[in-house]
Amino acid sequence: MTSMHEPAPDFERYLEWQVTTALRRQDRFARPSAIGSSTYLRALPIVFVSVLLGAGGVTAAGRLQQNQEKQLLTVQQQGELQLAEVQLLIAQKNLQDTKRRVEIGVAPLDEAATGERALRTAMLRLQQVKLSLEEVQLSGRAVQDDVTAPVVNARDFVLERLQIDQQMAAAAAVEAEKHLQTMQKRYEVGLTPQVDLLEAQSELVSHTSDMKAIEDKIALRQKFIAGNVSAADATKQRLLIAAQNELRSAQAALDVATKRYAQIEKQMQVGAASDVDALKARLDMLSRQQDIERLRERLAALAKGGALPGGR
Amino acid sequence: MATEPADQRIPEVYRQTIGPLYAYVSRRCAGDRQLAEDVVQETWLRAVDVWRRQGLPDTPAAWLTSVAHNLLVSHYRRTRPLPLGSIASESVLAVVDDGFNTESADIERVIHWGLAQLPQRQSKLLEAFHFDERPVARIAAESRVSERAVEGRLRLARLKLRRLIERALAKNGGRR
Repeated sequence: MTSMHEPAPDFERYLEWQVTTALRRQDRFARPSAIGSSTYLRALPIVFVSVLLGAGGVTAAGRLQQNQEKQLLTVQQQGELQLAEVQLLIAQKNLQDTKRRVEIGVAPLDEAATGERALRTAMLRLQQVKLSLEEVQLSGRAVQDDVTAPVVNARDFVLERLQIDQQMAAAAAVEAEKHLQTMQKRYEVGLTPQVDLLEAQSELVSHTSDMKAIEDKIALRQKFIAGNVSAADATKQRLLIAAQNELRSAQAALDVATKRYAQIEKQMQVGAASDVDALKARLDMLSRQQDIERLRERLAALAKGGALPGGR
Repeated sequence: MATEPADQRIPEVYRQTIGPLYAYVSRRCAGDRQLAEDVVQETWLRAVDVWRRQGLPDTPAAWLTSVAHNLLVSHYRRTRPLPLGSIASESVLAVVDDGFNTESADIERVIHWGLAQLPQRQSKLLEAFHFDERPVARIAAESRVSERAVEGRLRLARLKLRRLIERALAKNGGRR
């Protein structure tokens, strides 16, 4: 049976016939006559006769097409692989350059840490692309990243990619923590305003939250593969995990926005900030409050399960 | 455009790309198979016409996807998102908030209508993330920006889409 996102075999053959005849006509005549949808119906008998006459050939052609699709996907993944390799090279060069600048004192120390993280991310990204290439070659299908995707020849590519995501998130969290420590020191000696410190805290919360979301997703994937959770429930839980993650990040962002607003109000009293600054800060705070309300509503709906759609 | 003769290669390109192209279009057609077939057919007829005159593009699959995307945008811009019958506006907005996951073809059509009204940069980003299920890291790598920036852009685009749909539903008297 044809799945929803696959072309119907009749349509596919008809269109192929239409494309080849259009080419032939354009070869024979200066301007081809228009091919309308009505010719679809008129052409169908021809297509069906061809199908009946060449059933064996069609099976072989089907296999051939599967191979061609696999080849196309492989070529796409190889393109991504080249891109990832170039990005790795750029990250390596950038890090070398940053280290030189740190050594002679024209760049701060934390810039090297950022470069190291970028390099680590590029290496992990390359690993992910290699995994995707392997998946395409083994399955002959496009890469699938959903928690309910099947395993391929006993390999769980979804889990393997999630584990790489986890390492990337961990690297980001470590960097955010270092950045927070730097901001804390700068704030203590009066080199940076409190808002920058709060932003660094919020950034750390956000990365930690991402890590937690990936951990939860890994646990969910393992449960799904072990058969302890149905595909529908796994989809619901995936949405729940994503919403909880968004809520944690939104709460941290609201905290920053609230404190920023309070600070601007104080500055306004001494003439160091304008009405417009205060209004902008208030608007930012209110829109984040609204985001949180919406996320809470969504979480409540997801927890109830009733309003949840089935997933794509 | 490449200079090699297109005629011999077009049927081969057709066989290589018809599956992925159809899947790309179908995911944006809210289960309407006829619409998907019309868009794929129109895309291919345009391809034959243009490629024969100008030669094959360097990346035929990307060319086909772009044309199909533009045809879909034109289609959705011409249609109205309503009537929605018994579906409440809140249900539509909840689907926008929930990452576009729905089994309702009506709601899906409203979302596609909304996406067609957004600037292409924003609609393509949302589509890449929600329909093609490309992870943020991959989008960030391809667009050479940080993951945080992609997340921020996604948030903004979703918010804009939500407001757009909200206004259209209110204007068309969607049930509350």
